[in-house]
Amino acid sequence: MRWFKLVMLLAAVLVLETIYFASGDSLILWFSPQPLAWLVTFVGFLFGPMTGLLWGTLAGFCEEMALMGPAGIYGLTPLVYLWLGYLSGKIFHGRADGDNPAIGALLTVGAIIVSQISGSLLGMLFSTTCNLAAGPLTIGRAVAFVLQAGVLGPFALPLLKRLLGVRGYSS
Amino acid sequence: MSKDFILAAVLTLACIILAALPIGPTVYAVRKVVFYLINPTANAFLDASKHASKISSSWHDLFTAREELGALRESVKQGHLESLAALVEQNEAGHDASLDVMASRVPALQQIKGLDFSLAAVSYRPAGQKNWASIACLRGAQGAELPTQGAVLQFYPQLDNFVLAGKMLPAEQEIGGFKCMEMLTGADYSVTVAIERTGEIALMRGVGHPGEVVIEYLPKDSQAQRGDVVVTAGSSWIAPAGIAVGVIDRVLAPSPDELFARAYLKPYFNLSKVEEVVVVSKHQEAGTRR
Repeated sequence: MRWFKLVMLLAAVLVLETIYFASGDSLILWFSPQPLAWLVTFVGFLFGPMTGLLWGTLAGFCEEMALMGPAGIYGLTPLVYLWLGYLSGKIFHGRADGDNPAIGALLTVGAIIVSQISGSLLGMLFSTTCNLAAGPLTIGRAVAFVLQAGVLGPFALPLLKRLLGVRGYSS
Repeated sequence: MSKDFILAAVLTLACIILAALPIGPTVYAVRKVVFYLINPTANAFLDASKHASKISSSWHDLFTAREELGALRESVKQGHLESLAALVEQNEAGHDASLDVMASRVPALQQIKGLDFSLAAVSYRPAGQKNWASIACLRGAQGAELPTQGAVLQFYPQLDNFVLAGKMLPAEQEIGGFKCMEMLTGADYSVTVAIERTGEIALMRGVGHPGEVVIEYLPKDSQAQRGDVVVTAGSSWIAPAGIAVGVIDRVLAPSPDELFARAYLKPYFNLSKVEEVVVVSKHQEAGTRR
């Protein structure tokens, strides 16, 4: 049941992302909210490192399949997301309170920073500017990501807990 | 090492290997082809066609063939349109020739003094049994303005002359900007007529039947009989005198309490072939008979 809910959640977010990118990346203040990166860290945090890394890998592949252009390099987004999910679960699962707003902000900001930096490094390694589906990283975009994540993260985590029916922690 | 770390390491290795493979264009092409198969629109086809060669030459050939098939269908459709245009042109030519034949007969009509003649063609006939037998809307030849009063004549090849078809309706009864005629078969049409052989005057009235009209108020001792030719009497402005109307089909003997006899007439007017007509207007007493 948990995986069914997680797959449904992934499908819904992918649809939203597809609409967002089809609109020319201009719906929400000209920067992408990176919802999948947030969700991978939340899933790792709520369900542990194994679920986090598996769901992250799946989410990464699905995002690439849905959004990547013909010149894209496949495999980098799942690589970033699987480590986000794994590390989030490894560090925070069972050690932090999911109802604490600070943990939501911390997780999302951390996720955005880790995903953007690692994505850019991997991009350079594979001779492209940035291979994440979200697009090239600039200082302005990075600041916008972090601010957005910090503001919305505290509300997003309790919402996700309610959606997935999580009480406390489960693994 | 924990189980989840081993799995993360294995997946990392798999992702790095995958990233090193140049599969981007192929995956993108597969996506476009699958999207086209799910949603076969023109845009999806163009997208899929553009990238199909990245999958294999077979896919490229398939899409090229599909594109050529589309072009072929388009040319066939174009061919059909051209055939249709030729057919319309041919019909128009026939139509014009028919108008020419009718126009060549008009000078004979013009010998009747005091009348104006306008050539017209039927442009619209309202549907419904009652309307079909009673109303036809006309447009003047070469855009000429048609009068709103006057008789309408149809050329009848067997007589090589014009026969009565109906009358023009007033301007307030125009339909869609077209002036219309009331055909003599319509239930509201009436005109005074004369039996050519006996000279008896009566009232002809349409009954809504496409092949039959009724003649009323014939004298009780009328000499009219089957086969008598009926012409317009000219006792009103609706139609000039002497225009052929039809042939009597049967005469009904009046019952003792009736004052008049009645007859049924087969009109020359052909409801099913009313295409070109002549409108006779500004009727004055011409007093001519055929």
